[in-house]
Amino acid sequence: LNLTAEQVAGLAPDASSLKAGRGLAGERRWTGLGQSERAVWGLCQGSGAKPYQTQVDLSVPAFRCSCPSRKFPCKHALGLLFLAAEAPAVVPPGEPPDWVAEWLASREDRTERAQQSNARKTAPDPEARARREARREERVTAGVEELERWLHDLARQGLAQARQRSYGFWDEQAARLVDAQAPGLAGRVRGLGGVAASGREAWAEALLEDAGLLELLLIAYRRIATLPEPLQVDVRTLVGWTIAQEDVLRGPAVRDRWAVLGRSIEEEERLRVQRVWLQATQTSRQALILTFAPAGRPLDLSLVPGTVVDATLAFYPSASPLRALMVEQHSAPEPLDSLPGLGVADALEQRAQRLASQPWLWRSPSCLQDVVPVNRAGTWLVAEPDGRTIELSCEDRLGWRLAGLSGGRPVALFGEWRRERLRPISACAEGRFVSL
Amino acid sequence: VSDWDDHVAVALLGTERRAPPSQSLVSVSKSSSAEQRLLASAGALALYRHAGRVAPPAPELPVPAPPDTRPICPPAAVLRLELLFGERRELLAEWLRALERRGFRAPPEHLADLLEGATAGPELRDLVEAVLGERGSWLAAQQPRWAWAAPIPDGEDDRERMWATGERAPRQRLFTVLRRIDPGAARRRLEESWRQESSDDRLWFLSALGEGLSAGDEPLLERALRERRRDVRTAAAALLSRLPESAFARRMRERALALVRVERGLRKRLRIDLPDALDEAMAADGIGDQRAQGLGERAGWLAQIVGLTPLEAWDVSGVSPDQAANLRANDGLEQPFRLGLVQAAHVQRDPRWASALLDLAPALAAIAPAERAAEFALARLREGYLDAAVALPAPWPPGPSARGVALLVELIGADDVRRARLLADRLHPSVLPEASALLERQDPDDLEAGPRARMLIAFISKTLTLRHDMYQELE
Repeated sequence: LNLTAEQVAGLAPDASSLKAGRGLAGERRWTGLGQSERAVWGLCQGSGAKPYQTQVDLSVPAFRCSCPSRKFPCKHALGLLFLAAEAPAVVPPGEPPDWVAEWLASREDRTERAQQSNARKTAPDPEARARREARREERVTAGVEELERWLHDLARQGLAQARQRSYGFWDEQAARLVDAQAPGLAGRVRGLGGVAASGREAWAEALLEDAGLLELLLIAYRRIATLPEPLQVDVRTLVGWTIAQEDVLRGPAVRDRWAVLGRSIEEEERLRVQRVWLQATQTSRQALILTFAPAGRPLDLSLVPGTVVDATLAFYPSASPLRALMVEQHSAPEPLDSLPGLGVADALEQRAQRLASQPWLWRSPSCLQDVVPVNRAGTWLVAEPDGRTIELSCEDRLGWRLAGLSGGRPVALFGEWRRERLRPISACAEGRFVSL
Repeated sequence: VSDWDDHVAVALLGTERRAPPSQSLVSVSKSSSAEQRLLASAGALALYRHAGRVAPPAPELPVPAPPDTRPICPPAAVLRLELLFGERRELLAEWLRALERRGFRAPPEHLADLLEGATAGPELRDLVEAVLGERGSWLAAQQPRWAWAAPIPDGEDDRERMWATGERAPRQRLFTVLRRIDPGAARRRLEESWRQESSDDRLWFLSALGEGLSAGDEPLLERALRERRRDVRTAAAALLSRLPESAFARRMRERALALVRVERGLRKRLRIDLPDALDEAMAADGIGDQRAQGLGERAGWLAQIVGLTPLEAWDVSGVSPDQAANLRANDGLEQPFRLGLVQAAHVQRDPRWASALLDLAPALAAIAPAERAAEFALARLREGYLDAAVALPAPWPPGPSARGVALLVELIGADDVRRARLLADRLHPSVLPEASALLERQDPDDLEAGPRARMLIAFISKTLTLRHDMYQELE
């Protein structure tokens, strides 16, 4: 088994599952334990008469258990993995019993069927496809024109007035853009509504920034043919076109030892958005693995912050490529004991470069090296000894956590930009990696 | 910047009320509207401002924390601490105690949460302070709320200044720490400032004098005994009773021995006289300040005198703790006498006497020797009482714990949730695997409580496993 106990802990859907899972990681709870290259399995005695059949397909990983729990993975699967990770001797290698073999076989069937149906779906009918595309272009263009009028009305009547509007005002415009098949623009309009309602001190500045960037995006879309080719892809993606995963996978692949620097999760309406940030240890190139899960479904937890993996990634085309797909993981993760960071000036330069090549890339990552968290008049910032500072976007509790971790000595800090502030995600001090 | 501010000002009012700034970073075609010029120019300015940002120079950095000597607890224990914070906070105190005993310090990223938790729940303060390490006290020094855990200044002058002009919390901290390292010096400071202290502060400082108490404190305590405020007098009297050589203790001993004598006849018994009247000297020593419930006035005086008499006085006069707890007296007067003894055992924190008096006051389990206290708490639990078990924190010694396992199974059978949970929280870690194994063999259908016991078994099993793992992770 290639997982460490920390990684198993990372798979838990919530704290109580984690605790319950740890509680089931004892040998005497289990019978019929075994593992193969592909799977781990065992029978766990619960409170019922019949033991639960618990199995994990390690290749994905995927979980299955005969218990009634709706948690995913359930505590039994977690317990089994903890046991296999911490006491491999009690989980002997062997042939999967029938109930495991059948499940694995059915999973293979399903994958094949899915691939076949994908193949059928993409069966080329170039004409129909071209017609569909042309229709969408028309709709989006109409949507963009309407958005322009709406946005200019906003500017004409003033942001102070817009701020008085109800949610419905923003939501209706967003919904019209969804109908126009421009979901990216819809998200930006909802974002404007969020800023207007945020009650933050500098709301007007933030709203004008976002409205201004949206205007630039609309102008760019109108003139898309005049833009350099990679930026054209960015503009179309920002408006709402998606790039098929197959196309990304067909592009150039980058193999490196990738440090998993951190993870941030955001709740959207019926969706959780997970950003996992990677950085190549050899080239310092950064990558974002963006995944989504409907509410209540588990996120992809295969990349554990604080580890290094030898892996091949394929990057989405962009003027400043950051988003990537995992093509293949070549090795088991190893612990990460340092964060490869930059000085403050270099980090700002890196951010400026990114904005210069892709002006809408505001939420980019930065990894800072040797900075000291400081609390100044209630605001948290990080400072380089004899150098420069960056303000942090963090609540007081997080600031104090950081201060405790650093003890007034330089630490490495990784975070995402939130306008002019950095939101801390993880830090490394005295060889210890800590998710914040 | 002013350019940006102009844009914001126009945007707030709207272009129908105010014309957009004429200068612009971007060239938009002349035919474009005022709104488009405003927004496009604002977008470009926003980019310019963010991309062109120059970081301000660093302020003066804090003096770093001194290096720690103790190691941070292992990673599994760090994970456990996070879980305990989320739920099962009732096990946090036990975890902290185990952490300290094994020579670890708390993980630095959790120090702030521990300090905050113990600020809200003062019962955790001693435990948290013990695992803070250098890093934790360095951190505590930066947040006024955490003054109770902050280090005190090194220099005599700084200490003097803090004592003379500091806020209440840092002064209290200074006194507490000084009292640990140089009790006499701490007291001298208090003696000097006593007249200026408010009566609330006087009361607080008296409560802190219990640490490092010695004969040298007597003059100050005598002074406090003459205070107007009653609870200040009561606190001073209790402290004086802990100094057997003090004049106060001598006065109390004389009063007590004059009232209580042992009659050696066929059956040993006590001969007790009640004080005739509350004379001035008695009143000056705080007798009569409190009215014991359920006792007559004179019996109450007796109880108070005994409560403030050093317990060793009874040993010297030939009354052993067991006799004192059990001998009868004339006219049922053993009752106020025993009440006084219980009070004295609490105040003087005397394990031997606490042990003898457990039946009279189960809460004395917290003071009695651990083995005896645990056996007693078990017996009380068996009878249905939680008091002694509540008073005696986990883990109980292995011997009584091993005997507690059978009781745990019994309690689950009877579906006694409160008692079962309490016992499961107290057993020694060495008996936990055995207890879990025994629980697993229980078939809920055989139990009196039937299927209802299933949930309780599951919960208790979880508790046992959790506590077992918690100790394993700290090995």
